[in-house]
Amino acid sequence: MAKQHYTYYFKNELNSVKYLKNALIQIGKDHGVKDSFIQHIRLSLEELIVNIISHGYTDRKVHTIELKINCLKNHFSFYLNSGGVPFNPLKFKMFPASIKERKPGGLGILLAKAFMDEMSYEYKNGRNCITLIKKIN
Amino acid sequence: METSDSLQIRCSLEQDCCLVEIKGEINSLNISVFQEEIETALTGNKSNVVMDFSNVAYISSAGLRVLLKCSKDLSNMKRKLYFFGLNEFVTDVFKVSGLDKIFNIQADKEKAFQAVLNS
Repeated sequence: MAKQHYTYYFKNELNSVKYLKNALIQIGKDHGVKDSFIQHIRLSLEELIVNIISHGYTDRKVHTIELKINCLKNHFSFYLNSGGVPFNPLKFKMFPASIKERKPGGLGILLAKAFMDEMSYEYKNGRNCITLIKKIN
Repeated sequence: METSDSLQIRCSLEQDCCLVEIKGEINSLNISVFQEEIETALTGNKSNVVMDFSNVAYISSAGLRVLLKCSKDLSNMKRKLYFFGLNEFVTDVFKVSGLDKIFNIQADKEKAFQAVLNS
């Protein structure tokens, strides 16, 4: 029986994101889901993690971003936990009138939201906590 | 030119257009190389540009921003930009971001060059 719970840690450097792709591909194979399902998940998570790495910290220290994945029968859920600057991605406008109006980084968040079915945010104990759900059709 | 993270870009002149063939993924890890390669490809000639996306497996927002800048720069030079061969995933990304309404996207190479002729 395939594993249901996975935990990954990313350092706040862009290079660390490269491990996400193969990890998700393997999860997809383990659970027999479509490649497109995994690609959508990869894009969402990558956009959020890259956003955290690029904008989430104001010091030059090494920080850790935690990603937990739960694979259930009807959906996968994801839990991203990071320190740094409080940032609620849900407060970004979802459908701005034109590309030109988007703030830097807004396009990534738009994509992250669009390819997941649910997204929620909480700032708890000094940590940014983003929960996402993608349903298996 | 081949880069790490499986990105290859090849440029050629075809039917008076700059044909840019891209293979692989366009993501945050290779974005600066992608931007540099695209900019190099587009300078030194005055043609319209046709981008072959039929071998582009993945694109993130970083890639979209480079394409937007490219489109703006070309427009300032009165040059046009066309795309063809987008797979389902890349098409979804363009649609969600609204770029399908900004960019001229065609199904295949023939239609893309026809669109250039008709412009």
